[in-house]
Amino acid sequence: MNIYWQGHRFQDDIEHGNSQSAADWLIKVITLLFADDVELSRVGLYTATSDAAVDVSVDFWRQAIKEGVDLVNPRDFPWTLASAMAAHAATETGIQGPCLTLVGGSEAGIAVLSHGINDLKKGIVDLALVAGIDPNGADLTPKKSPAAVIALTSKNTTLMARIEPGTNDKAKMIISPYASEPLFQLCRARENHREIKITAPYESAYQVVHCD
Amino acid sequence: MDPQLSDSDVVVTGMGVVTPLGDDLDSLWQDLLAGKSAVRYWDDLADEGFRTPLAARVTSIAGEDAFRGSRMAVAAARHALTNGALVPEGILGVFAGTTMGESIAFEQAAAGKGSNLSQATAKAFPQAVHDALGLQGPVRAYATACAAGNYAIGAATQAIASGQIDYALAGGVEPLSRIALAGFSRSRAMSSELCRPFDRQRSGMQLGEAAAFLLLERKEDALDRGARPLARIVSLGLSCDAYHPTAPSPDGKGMARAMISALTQAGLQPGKIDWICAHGSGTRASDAAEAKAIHQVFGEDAPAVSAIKGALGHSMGAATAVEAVAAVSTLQHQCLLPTVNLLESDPEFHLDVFNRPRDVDNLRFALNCGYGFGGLNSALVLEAS
Repeated sequence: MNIYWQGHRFQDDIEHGNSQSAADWLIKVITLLFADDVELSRVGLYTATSDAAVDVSVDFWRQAIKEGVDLVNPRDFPWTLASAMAAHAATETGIQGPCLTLVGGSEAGIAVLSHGINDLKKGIVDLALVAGIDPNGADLTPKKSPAAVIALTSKNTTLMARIEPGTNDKAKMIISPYASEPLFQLCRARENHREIKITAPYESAYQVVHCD
Repeated sequence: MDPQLSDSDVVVTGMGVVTPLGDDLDSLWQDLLAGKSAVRYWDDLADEGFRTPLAARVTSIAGEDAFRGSRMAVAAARHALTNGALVPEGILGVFAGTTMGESIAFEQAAAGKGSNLSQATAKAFPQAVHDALGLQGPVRAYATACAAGNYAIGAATQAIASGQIDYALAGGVEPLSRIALAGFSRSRAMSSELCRPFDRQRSGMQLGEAAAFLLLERKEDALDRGARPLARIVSLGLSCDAYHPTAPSPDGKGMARAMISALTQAGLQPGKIDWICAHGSGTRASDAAEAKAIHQVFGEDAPAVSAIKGALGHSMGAATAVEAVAAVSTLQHQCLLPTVNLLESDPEFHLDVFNRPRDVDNLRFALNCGYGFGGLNSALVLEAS
């Protein structure tokens, strides 16, 4: 089965260090990447992040210390979970397929790519939205938090490039504290029409094959 | 339809737990059969202002510091390796589910006590296991709310079946979180009464803490090294409600989609499932949605249902991993666990729930269900070996 990119976006206007801002950005990008005829139960969202919800968790408990544990705002609580960004984005966009979040560095970015591709190949989803978001990753791209989303489908609707599993031989090993880094590199390679094959320690290798 | 048989069946060959009812598999099983509950009143939580100072806490791991969860994880992982008699050679991945990581580190940071929060995220747990045991292999942290253990077990199974890794320690970890205590209390999910899943009088849950890992490997590898398969991991179904940040969709359709996905991947008709290890949080909304989901998938002839959160509290990201251990034990012993604290099954549910152990014959397929905030739904099919 060939896996195609429908599109991607990266590096927009996420407020640094703010998980809720990152979730809002994710919603905006997902909406842009949705095909009109997509069946929402056949869409999966696979998100990798290095630091989801740390900021909210600390703020939530700071509020509890200040005002008392029985006076904290319950609406803030769901945002303390590391899954909050993806779950919020799925809820707002209506995604009803698998929704998972991996926490880690570049290896998590590769791993969510594997999850998306595997679910496409197993016929569980028709559209796999693979995201990497690092709200506190400003040193990767100064002043703004890095993020990348790749929409994968087995349908060759808007042929731009294929993404294929490859051997680890001659693959570029990406070791970074940021989950978005490998998806960033794939996006840049596609935009610049460069061939690239990437991997992370103990994870699969993937390569971009340009089709046009 | 018969279940599809994979070329590389992935089996459980060892299990390890750290729970409020102890860390020994046999005594945990006996306590669950006996209907014991580890939930109790805690003076320190009352002194800190928690309106519902009830919880199920682990007593075998000392200290409430920023590394408590990591110590629990390492202890459970060691137990699993010992139980499976494995001296790792080859690639062994650590796949752990959790909701937020070392919660105490975030609480300390809020209080102005220095913590390196980059070392406290969800990845802290599998990384601690990987480092402490000197393993070679991937480290993955699944932050998928209260269903996280199932996600980790399913992902590890996929990684082994594909040949990416040789073995996995897969499960969930959650130290007691005051952030969660406050949050669930303010979300009106906590009960000052006993947690009674699927009961007519159920009024909510209590939090717990736990760590649980399953040692997974290919069946042929297990047999080659003389290990005894305890159960087979068959399939994992996932879905998202897309409904609400905290409440489950009341129609249960999202939960049902996860179950159907698991059955479809396994090539199983619903009638093949012999028993459901339910999420059974004991809240009014979640249990009602789960009951509807079960009937949507199984019709009026739904299999027997058990829930163990009345015994162990709700250990959030670790819950489905602990329940997977309980499910494997159930398949091994051919005896269905009672639903602890159940007095009278909610008559609107029409479910076969019970409060005494039930011996059964030919128990083959179990469905381990777990659901989380954000409408994250999971259902894991396990098969007796």
